[in-house]
Amino acid sequence: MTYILVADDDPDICEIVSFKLSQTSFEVRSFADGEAALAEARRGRPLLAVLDVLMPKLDGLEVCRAIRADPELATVPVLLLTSRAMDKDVEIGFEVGATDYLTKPFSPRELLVRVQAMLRRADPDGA
Amino acid sequence: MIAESSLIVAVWVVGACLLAALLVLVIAHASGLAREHRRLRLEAEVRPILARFAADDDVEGCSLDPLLATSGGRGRYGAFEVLAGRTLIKLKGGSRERLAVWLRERGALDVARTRLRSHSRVRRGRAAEVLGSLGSADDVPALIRVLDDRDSDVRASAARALGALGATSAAPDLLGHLGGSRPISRITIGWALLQMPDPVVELLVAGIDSPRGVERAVAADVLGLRGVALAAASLIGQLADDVDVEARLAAARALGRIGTAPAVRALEAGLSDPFPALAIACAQLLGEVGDPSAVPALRRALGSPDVQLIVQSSRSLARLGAAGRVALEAVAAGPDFAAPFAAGDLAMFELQGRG
Repeated sequence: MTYILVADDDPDICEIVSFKLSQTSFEVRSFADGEAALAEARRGRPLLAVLDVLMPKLDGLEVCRAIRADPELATVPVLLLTSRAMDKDVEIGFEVGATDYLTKPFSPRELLVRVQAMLRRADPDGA
Repeated sequence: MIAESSLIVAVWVVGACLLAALLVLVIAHASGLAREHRRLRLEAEVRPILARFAADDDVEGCSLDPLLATSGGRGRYGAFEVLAGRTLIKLKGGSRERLAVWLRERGALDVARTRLRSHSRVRRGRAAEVLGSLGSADDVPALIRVLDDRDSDVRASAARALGALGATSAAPDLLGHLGGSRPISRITIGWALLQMPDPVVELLVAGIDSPRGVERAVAADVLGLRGVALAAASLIGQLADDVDVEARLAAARALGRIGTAPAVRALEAGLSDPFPALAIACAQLLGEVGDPSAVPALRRALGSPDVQLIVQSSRSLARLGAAGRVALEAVAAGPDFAAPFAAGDLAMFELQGRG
């Protein structure tokens, strides 16, 4: 079953992001750490992943890197959600293969718009 | 006989007191756990409501009351208020505004102003957070006073609040709380200074001349993070002449972020600094700046007797494009001590598919 993967160790943000992305009409599966999120992605390919950068066990950059290194998951669009907005951090995010980047504080509406755009690009005939 | 009886009584009394104290501790601990459990349960109950209120553009403030009202309504309102205050700083746009309006209508701002003087450190800290999100310039003097709070978490909350409010007038007080009897962490103060609007730059440049090394270091770091090229001349002087090593390292980092030609020249000069950590930092930063004009200086650094400097200089050369790689190839083909390091970095570069 197709779903959107969300990983953020902040339960308040995780809830808001999950609620907002449920407006895409896709199932949203959320996790509080990168390790659990990556395990879920490997169990079943997500349509798209929204990852917080600073998370316990496995941070968002490492999850993104692992997704890109997995042939089954390499084309999954990844949006990094982070409080770090320095040029270098953005550069690192794209170096590990992130498709897009959104800094906190963020607008849930903007997040939804970006995710919908990423889904359309990934599947122009579907999403 | 009497002395023996007295001793027995005394032992029983002490034992009873210890038992009573232990009982009080256990009850207090259990009570604290129960309160924490209740707090987490209430937060879990209202979190979906918060998510809907914050993220659903069709939800108005008046829709919240029915959502929150239950037999434990007051508890849920309180929990929602805490979550709303905590989440406010993480959101922007319509979502943030919706939460801010609701909190103001609930009188959260007045409550926060009062609670800044609470006996409870938790309330003081939370009050500072709320003022950072909802407050105004009128709240700055009170928050500056809270920088001297006896609790470190409360002081940190006040510092972050001042940053969130963009209170440039508080910059000297923030820098003054680096160290001392009631310190605030460098990271917190740095973050606060980073949030402030451009008028704070002048105060930060003045901070480079502070008599305290830690202030000079933090001022340099923040100027670098803000990318203030105008501060390069002062930072170059700090890198070359400061007596405090941390201040010099901060100046180097700042120049690395600024990355102008004079900054690169200053970092090149730092390659021959007698303090090894500074020379190595300069080598790393030259690689991060990515200016190929630094190739000759890094090439010369490969002749250093310091192995760590050789390692870092070689890595940085690999990041400086074709000119850097040509320099590494020349070293790798020669008899220099640095040859294997150069060969290794060239191989890594090609392995990563950028060759």
